[in-house]
Amino acid sequence: MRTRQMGALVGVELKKLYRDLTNLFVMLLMPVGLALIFYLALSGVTNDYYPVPGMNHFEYLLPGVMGYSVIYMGMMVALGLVEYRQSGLLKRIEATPVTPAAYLGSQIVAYMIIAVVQAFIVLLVARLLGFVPLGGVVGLLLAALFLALLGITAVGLGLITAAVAKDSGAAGGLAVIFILPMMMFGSYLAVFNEMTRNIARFMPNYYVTNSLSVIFHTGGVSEPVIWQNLLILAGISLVVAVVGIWLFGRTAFR
Amino acid sequence: MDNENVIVIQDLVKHYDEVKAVNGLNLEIRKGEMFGFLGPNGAGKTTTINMLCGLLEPTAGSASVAGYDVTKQATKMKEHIGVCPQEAAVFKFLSGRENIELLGNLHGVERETLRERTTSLLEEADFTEAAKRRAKGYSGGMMRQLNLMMALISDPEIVFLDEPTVGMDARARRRTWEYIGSLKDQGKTVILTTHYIEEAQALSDRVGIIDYGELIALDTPQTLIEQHEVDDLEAVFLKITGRRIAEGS
Repeated sequence: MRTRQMGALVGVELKKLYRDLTNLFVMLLMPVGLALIFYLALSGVTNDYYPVPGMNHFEYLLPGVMGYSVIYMGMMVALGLVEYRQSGLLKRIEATPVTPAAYLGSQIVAYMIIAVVQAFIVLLVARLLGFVPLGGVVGLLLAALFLALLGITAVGLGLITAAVAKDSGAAGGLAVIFILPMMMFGSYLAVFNEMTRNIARFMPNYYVTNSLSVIFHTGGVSEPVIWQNLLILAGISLVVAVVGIWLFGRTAFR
Repeated sequence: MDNENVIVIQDLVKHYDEVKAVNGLNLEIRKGEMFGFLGPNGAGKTTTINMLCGLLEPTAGSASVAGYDVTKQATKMKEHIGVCPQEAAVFKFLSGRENIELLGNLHGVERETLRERTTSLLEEADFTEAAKRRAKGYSGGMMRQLNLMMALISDPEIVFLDEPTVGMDARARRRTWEYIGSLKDQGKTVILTTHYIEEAQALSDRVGIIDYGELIALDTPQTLIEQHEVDDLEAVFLKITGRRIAEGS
């Protein structure tokens, strides 16, 4: 019965994605639009300190866009949960035999799927614009794994935000606090110097940006740094998700 | 489980800091009974129902629903209940039918049974066409109708209806009350809170009146009317709750 319950709840979140225009915009059109803007503005610019000679700004920023889009999802999760709580939907679900763990698990599964699909749509658009990702099928599978783990982190951050925020305005404001530094340091600025790289190491999406960059730019799917990043990201995801589930389970159904 | 009583409440207490929302409530509700749970705003009705549905942890005391302890066996207990909350809690981006089927899925209703039951519920409520549209465009009354159908899709033994007709027009309300009346014929136990006291009088086998978190009257509507020597249940309600307020207790 639990699989059926979770399947139904995952279905709800996926339907919400394509039926709610705001969600559709933020989850799919925004990252695609961002990739297009970066392509138009930066594909003609190159820089020597990028990892691969001849690489342009657009190609350099692409893994960051993919990771950033997933992190942004955390805000949508938080806003969605706050709205569900305010409209009584969480109570309604809680009055069924669905356990809080099954409900929150369904959120994680749904957003892991969305995270991977979202990032691969960005990659597809980039491919159509001429970007050739290296790493082959193994690279794509590894990328999917990284993005799914980042999806768990995003949901965890969303749960923490929704547990703390009383309304959607507060949830949006709080979410920006974690989104902005991740966007700045985890996605785009890490490369500048040692200081920015050290700051970036505190951002979960940095490990995705860094790994996708190694995979897609160099094809180095067996580089030790990939596995190191994977371990760190898995640890972060686990901690953030557990804290999120614990906090949200304690407070937000009440 | 007692063969007769499907809900047993013993010394139930819920405090929010200094506020005693429910204060030592004792109550037994029989199988197949239509129980009207009445009280002024803030009297403790919804808090009590939330505890019985496993949504709130009691501060003290105990309660069992369908033979299951509401705190220790909440998940099992929830398989036997249907809850129509006070607010119309529906997913607006889903159609009416999808909302009903979602609740059925969450209760583990078999696919074929779910389809048949949804169709039947929608036909009874004359809601078949509306159910194809997303709930976003529904009027307040339609939301309430959908809210009620979502509570009933699992064919629960015990139904909690918390102000089920608020916001409905007179015609929809009349039809809904008739439908709620028919739940008793299906052998369901119904716990109903409402501000339409005349309808509670017509439908309920027994009513309990709660005020300041305490049960201040419990009997059949007719017995309460006779005891208080008034014309109807509304007069009983005003007499006993008004008196308490005047006494400042």
